[in-house]
Amino acid sequence: MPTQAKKWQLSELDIQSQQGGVMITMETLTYVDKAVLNKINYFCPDAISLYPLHQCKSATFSFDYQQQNHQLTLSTKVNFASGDWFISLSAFNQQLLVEASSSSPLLNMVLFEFNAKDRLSQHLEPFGVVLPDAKLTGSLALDVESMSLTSITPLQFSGLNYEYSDDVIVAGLGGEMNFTSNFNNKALQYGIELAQGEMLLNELYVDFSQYTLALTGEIKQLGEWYEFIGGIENQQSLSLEAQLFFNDIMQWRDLKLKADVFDAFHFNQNILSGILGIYGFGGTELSGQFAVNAQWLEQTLSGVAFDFNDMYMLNERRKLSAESLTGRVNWQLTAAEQSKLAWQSLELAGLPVQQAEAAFSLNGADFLLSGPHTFPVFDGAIDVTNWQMNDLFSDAMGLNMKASIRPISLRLITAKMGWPLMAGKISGIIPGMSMNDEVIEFQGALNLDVFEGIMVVDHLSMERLFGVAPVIAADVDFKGFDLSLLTETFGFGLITGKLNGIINGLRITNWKTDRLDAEVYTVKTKGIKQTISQRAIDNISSLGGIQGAISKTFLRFFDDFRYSKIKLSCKLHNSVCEIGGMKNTSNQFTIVEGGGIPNINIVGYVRSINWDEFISRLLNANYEG
Amino acid sequence: MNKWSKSMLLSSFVFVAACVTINVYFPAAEVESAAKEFVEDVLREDSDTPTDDQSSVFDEVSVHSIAAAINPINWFIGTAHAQADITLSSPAITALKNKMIERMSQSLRSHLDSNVIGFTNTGLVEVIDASQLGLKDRQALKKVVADENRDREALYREVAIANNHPEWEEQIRAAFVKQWIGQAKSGWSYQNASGQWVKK
Repeated sequence: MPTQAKKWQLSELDIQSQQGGVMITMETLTYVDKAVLNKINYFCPDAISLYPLHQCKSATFSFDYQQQNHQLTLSTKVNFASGDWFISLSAFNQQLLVEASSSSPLLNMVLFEFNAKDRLSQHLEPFGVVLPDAKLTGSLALDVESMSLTSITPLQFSGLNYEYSDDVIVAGLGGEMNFTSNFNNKALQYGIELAQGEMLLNELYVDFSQYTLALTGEIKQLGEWYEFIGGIENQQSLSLEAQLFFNDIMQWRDLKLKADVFDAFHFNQNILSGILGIYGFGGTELSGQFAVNAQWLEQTLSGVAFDFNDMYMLNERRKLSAESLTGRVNWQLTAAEQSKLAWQSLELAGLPVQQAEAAFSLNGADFLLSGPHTFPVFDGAIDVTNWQMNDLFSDAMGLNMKASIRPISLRLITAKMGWPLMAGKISGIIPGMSMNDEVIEFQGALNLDVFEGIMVVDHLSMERLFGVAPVIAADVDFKGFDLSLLTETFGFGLITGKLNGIINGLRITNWKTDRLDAEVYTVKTKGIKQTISQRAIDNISSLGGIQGAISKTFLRFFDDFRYSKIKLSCKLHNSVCEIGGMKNTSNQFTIVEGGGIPNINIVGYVRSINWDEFISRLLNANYEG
Repeated sequence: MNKWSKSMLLSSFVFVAACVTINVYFPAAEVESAAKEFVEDVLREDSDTPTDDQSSVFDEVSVHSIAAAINPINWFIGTAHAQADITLSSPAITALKNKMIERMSQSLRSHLDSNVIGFTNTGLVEVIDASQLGLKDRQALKKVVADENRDREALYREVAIANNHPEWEEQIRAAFVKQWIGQAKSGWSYQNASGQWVKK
């Protein structure tokens, strides 16, 4: 056909047979006006015939392509009469060896440290072919009839680099791969062992020399869509399976992921800890097993399920821990599937929860606890009758909770906080909560029964509970504390009576009291004696820096004294407590007003005191008088 | 429109205008000088992290307080001025500051010197060009930047709260933006008001 004939065009063909060999030269060879080869030179050093049988062992073939000269070494055997031929071609300093013959549709290629990008990119990239920047060693066969390319021996690769951006990049990848691909059916099967190099995928970093991966995959055409089924495996900790549908223009539709982490400790050390660090949870310890199943339909995440099996987790800085965590958290976009978690023990921002389980549903942006639950805390419990959260993923999360505290011993709470052990129990009703950004606010007051009195914690809020410098803020009001119980707890020396108090603007940052405006005072109550022991007087005096105020005087012969009122206030700001009591003047205040004979008043003269110092004097008051 | 409704309309304008004039006094100059000092401390090159910051804060304040306490007149003047006396020394702020000083000397300064990161116009730090770094270091840098920004966000809020005006947070942040950029070393990158990265 004339059009066919025009596809190949050559000019100035010259064939010379000389003593030193056979030389064929062409000035230009064009293919459909596109690929142009210039100065084509074929030279066989042996003086041999060209027709009908041409055989040459080390012919050289050179040409210019895009202003570059290329040289190949050929071994040829052509029988023009029968049409049989064999060509063996070696190029790029023997990095590439290609063999083809008329008897087989196979084109065999042997690569030795061949860098396709270096060698061929300038020729092939204009046609949209992306070549890997890597050194390849191995042998491949291209079947021209079925248009399939298959690795014969494992294709080893090293120094594979690819950069999409500063954040999405692989460098120095090395390993080996087996594959078979068919261009007609658009099918591919591969198996890759990745043992060198590193990868950064946004927050994810993997060092493959530490974390070797085996990748397998298969792509099949199903109508207008392709199905990809792939696996990623690390012998020690990970087995991941994926199924993805995509089309010719690389748009994807559905994706299923199933990741099994069968050694969370190993996975955390190599993969997860780096990501957790970016989100402020560095130094988290993990062990046990977990699995993630995720599904995207029409590019939309429709469900994620986490399965935990005997997981251990600890982050000391964030006061988070879990022991023997087992169960399933099943989030679904539309359907409400049940989730259930059970644990041996939990610690959430310092709150320890003992063995229990929780059943709930996570549906869209809603969380709902299934029915009433009891979570044991120390020797008491938190009874949750209703717990609901909406708009989970927004800044203004809705939170509805109905819960109460069953009596918990203060002794256990204070021991946990590292405070002096206190006697008594707390119990009460937990009001509703709301969450905005990183601030959780309690709506309504938390009523606690402490020291036989009532404590009302109002405007309670928590900020950055799991973040930097967590804050707990509240206004506290208490009435009718039994002072004898309170002082007994602190080992302060006995004081009897009833104590009321207000702590306004209490703000605890980093689990330390940052600010407060507090005032505590005794209230005369019918039938309650108001006495203060000698030791308590010594200890209160020591707040002002005086040691053994009474025990060093004749008054030591009295065991206790009557008082008419005790009052102490502290306004804490910038680590300094501005201290006061009754009859405050600029440099003087009264803490204890006597009420009887002998009449004892305790008067303070230093109105500013370092908070840490104040607390340590208050708590370590029981030194020798 | 009858007279009555006209006068109502007029008086409501007066009312609105009256409302607008009620402003909470924001001590811009004081906040700026407090922010200036804070940023100086963080960016100071030979700065050693104070090992016991709490006591040093106390000494400073207590000397002041005791002196004030001796003289009742001083004490009253002190209270009168308390509104404008911007404090940057609550234990939370001091803890944040020490972490920032340490982070600055351990990693941020060298990244600022090499223009890997810069100061944003929102008072944070951001990665501009990590191409000079190895991949593992790029992940480590993301962590350092995220840590620093979490501390900075907490700082702006805590400064507002320590001064009893949580609503000042954005103005305080703006004062810090000015200082971070103003005290940046020449050659460091920062983001100008229109969001472009420029070298100082």
